[in-house]
Amino acid sequence: MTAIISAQNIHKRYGQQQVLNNINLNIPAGKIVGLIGPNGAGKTTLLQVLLGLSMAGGDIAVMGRDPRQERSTMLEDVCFIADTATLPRWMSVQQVLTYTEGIHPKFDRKRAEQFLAQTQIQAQRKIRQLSKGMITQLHLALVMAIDAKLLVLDEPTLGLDLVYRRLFYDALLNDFYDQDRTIVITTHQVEEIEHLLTDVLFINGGEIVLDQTLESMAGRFLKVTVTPEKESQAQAFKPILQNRTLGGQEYIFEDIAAEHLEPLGSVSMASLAEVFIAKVTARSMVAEAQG
Amino acid sequence: MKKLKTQVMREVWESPGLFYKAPIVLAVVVVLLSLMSFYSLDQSNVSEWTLGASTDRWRLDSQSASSAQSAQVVEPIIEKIAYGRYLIFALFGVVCLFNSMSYAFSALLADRKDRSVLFFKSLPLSEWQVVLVKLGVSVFLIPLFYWGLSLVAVAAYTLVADIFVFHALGVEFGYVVQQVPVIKTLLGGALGVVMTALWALPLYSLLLLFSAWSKKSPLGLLGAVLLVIWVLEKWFLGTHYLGDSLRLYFSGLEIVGQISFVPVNPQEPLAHAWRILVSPGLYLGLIVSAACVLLAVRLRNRRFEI
Repeated sequence: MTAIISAQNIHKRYGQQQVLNNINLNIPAGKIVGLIGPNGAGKTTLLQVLLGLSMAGGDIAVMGRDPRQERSTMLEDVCFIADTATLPRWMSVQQVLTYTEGIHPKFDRKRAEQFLAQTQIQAQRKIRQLSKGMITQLHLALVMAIDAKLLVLDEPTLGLDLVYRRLFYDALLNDFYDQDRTIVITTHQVEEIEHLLTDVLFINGGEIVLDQTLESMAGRFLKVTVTPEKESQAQAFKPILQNRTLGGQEYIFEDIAAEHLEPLGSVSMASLAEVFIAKVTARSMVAEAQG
Repeated sequence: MKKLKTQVMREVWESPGLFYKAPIVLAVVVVLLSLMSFYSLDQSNVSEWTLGASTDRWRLDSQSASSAQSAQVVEPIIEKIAYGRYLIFALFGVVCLFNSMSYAFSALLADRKDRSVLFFKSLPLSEWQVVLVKLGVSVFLIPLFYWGLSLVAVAAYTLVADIFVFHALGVEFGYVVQQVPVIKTLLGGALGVVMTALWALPLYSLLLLFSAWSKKSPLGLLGAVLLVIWVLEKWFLGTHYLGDSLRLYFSGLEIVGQISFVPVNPQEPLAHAWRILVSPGLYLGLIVSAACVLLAVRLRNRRFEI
């Protein structure tokens, strides 16, 4: 499959701090990729580098173009929402439609208006007069009406309540996504997007600590609740995370076959959030041990 | 072209006060003041105008005198009315200068402050296009708006003056209007707008650079940088290049400012324009302008978040 995003050895530092370290990516078309990491992990910086908004070393190609050299041409095929609070508040809804129509060659104004017709948003109103939920709907209407091959969302639902977060992702999945389009979403709210994703990238401390399809993760990370008498056996399999629960200890294992774990207790698939915590914690523990 | 047109529209939407509200209000005020002053002059027989004569006497003079004599009476009035026109142009010029500088100072800062820069950067528009449009708007489009509305204000003022002269002095209607050198005023004004834009390019490019650089106050930052350069130059080199350059630059600005006023001698606008065109300072300014634009684009590409 053709890579929509291809990057080798992306590296960037701010002074003494290495914010991105040897990042390699290969994202094909038709994927919904979650770029997940704790605050300060480098998610936004990585997205900005991929979008040509921030400079970094390494080889980068987005839709076959180097974003550092051809950002404006690249953005004809790429849609980007930093967060929904970035629409200019002094513009009216009408103006933001006219502006996007004038600037973006692949913007279909009728489609955006159809989308807005299903909402309470009036064309004459200024964006500053809209509620945060309405602004989200407006931003979505703009995005949905752009015939882009790649949609990049950086914490798109930050500050939105549960209802609008749900609406946002539903619209994304139902009205935007198809097999030719790729979506990259960054968030630290893992549970919220787990059901959407085809692939996941965990980033921590500027490094990719996991690059996996959701499908392959299913058998790879298992969770077992172990009674106290079997804890030493469980430790022998080197769990990547352990939590104390009411019934005993809960362990997350990586690349251990289910049949080896079944004698220890009930085995289930680890959730994305649990794997994320395991991976991030493991790295922090290593860093702590080294330093 | 469509992108540039849209980008210009965006600038007008963002700052309607600077673009057309302020000059419209100014034009309305000018017209109202003209009406009030000419009306009160017409009503008061004893009012002393700046000519030092009462309107009542002029009426009597013009009624009893021959046409040559009445022209003698009317001529100084026509001259005074012409000065009123220049005053209106000057008023629009000052407000235009203030507003276009305010615009340039905030042009590359406002969207970073409210984070809407992330929305604009999500669209296929290069920073070159953004910065050049903003520069074009500040040096050319805003002055063009003001010039256009100053012409409207001057036309209204002249018409009011004509009615006054007709009513108060009995001079034939349309006489004042006929005395206005319309073509020369238009050409002088257009030439003035173009020449001022050329001469102002480095100044406005510098303002845009500080707008892209500053996180809070571009004016404060510019002032601080100039002060540091001035102090360092004085202490370490003992020279005054900065002060001398600024003085020379602003004296050039004064010359281009005069082009717009079609004064008594209509040859002067062209002479002033020629002085500017052959001045090495103009070309040095264009180089400075290019450097400032380049730096502003670089800053916008690499450091846009506050």
